[in-house]
Amino acid sequence: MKNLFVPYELALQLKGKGFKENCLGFYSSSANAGDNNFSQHWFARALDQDKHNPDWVEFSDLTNDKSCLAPLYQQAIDWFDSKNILIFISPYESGIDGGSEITFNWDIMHKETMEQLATDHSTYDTRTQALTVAIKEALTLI
Amino acid sequence: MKELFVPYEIAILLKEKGFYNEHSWGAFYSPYNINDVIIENEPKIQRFSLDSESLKNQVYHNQMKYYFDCYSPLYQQAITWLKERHKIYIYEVPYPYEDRTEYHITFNDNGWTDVDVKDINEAIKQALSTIKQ
Repeated sequence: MKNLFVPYELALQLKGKGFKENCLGFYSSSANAGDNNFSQHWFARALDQDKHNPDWVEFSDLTNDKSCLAPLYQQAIDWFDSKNILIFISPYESGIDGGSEITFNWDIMHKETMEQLATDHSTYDTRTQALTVAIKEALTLI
Repeated sequence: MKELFVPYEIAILLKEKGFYNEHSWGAFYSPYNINDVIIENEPKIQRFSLDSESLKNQVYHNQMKYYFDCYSPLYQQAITWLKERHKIYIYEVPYPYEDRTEYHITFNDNGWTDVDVKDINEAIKQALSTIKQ
């Protein structure tokens, strides 16, 4: 479950850039960077709120500087997309004979001009690792 | 938020293929009449909760009884399960100039095989169809 949500450090930065979509999770005010303990009570409230009011606007509980919503990776990608920032995660197959492996890298493009805004020549073992680095970079573009 | 979860037809296919996830936030329910016979022409309902186990309880809606049918995983959970359990990879391939997205499926069936489809639900269905049981 841990890998479904962007880590605390990035979630806090997303909050700072204006992210406030309806989320399944919430990092509590006691969370420190790297701490992935999010409040389960918040799950219940967010879901219940969603059921009765799709335009969830209650954000007052997150006024604490250290508290923030915990977006899913997919929500973060969609949010950047809405800002005309496209995050591409590309898979690469390697070692075809006797044990194929898939590694990942990322690119960030402007949605309308298709200008490449950032890239990275590193390869990552998992999609989540590549996404985490890409999101960190994309945050600097807003 | 509902759009983050797979629709019923995918959820039931995932269940048939043995999908398991440590935590689910959504589930689908089928309506039953007073004789406990399923009412085929009534739509299923979807509920959300933080407690996976409580999602399995029967519920009442519009004076009808609904029984738990299957969990309703997040797309992200379904795609991760396909990758980790079956080595089937689904990737989004955006075409921004054409304002469309395709989905690329890669799986190993005595050699890597690639398939492109236009819809995420179709991609998951095709991926599930490659799982032999």
